[in-house]
Amino acid sequence: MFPWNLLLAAVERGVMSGVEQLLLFFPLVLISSLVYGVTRHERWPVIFREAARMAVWFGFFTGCMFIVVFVLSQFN
Amino acid sequence: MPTVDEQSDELNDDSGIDLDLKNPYVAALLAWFVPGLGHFYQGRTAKAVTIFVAVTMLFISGYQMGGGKVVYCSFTPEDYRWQFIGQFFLGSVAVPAVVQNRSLRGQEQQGAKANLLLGDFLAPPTSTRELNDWNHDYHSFFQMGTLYTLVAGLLNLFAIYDAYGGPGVWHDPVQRKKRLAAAAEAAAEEVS
Repeated sequence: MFPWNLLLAAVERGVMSGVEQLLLFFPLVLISSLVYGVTRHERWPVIFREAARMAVWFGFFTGCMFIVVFVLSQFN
Repeated sequence: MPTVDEQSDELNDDSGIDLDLKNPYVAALLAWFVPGLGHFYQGRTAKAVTIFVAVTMLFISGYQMGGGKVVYCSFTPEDYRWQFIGQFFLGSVAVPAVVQNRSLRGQEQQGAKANLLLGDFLAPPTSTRELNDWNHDYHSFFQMGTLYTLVAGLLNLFAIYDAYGGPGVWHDPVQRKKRLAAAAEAAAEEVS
């Protein structure tokens, strides 16, 4: 529940105005992981599996970075 | 009956795939100029279409987000556009951007008014003030558009390498060993 509470608190306090811009992150992750998979493998089932794995990894990594930067920004 | 490990290994295995990369230098050059064109030349049509659509969509989205101002070449002390290094891997936009930059700098040296070869298309800002105006007008979308176009260029770098040297997994030592063994076995069978 912690990440959702943090997100809701942030939206209520207005510190995340423009939060809709985060949606721009999704096409970037989807296309990056698909192209990475395409250039790494030749068979389509393997490509899609690699793309899904990379999308989860990108999402996790950037999500962690977002949380760290967001928490740090609260101390300014 | 294959075990789960063997099935998993089979799914991860690209070693049995026989690819004709034709002339890899030509393929890489074509892939640099237009995303997917190198793969199309090699007859890898499905990959060519996927790369073309994905990279071009990402690039055009970024380009539109930044009002067409986010792709330009400039390496002056006032405006060191390092993002162009990534965008450079999309040759069809990198070439006109470099031409525009040379056109502007040439005119600046002669003290002439900027009247660029290709108009405003992919032109660098003529002053710091103009660059500030772009940032002001497009605010965060200028940064996001720059990021999108930069990532599109870097993804095309992967595609160029794939056109030149085959899929990345081929260069994995274990996969390479399997691929070479399979090729040797096929050659031995052909002889016998």
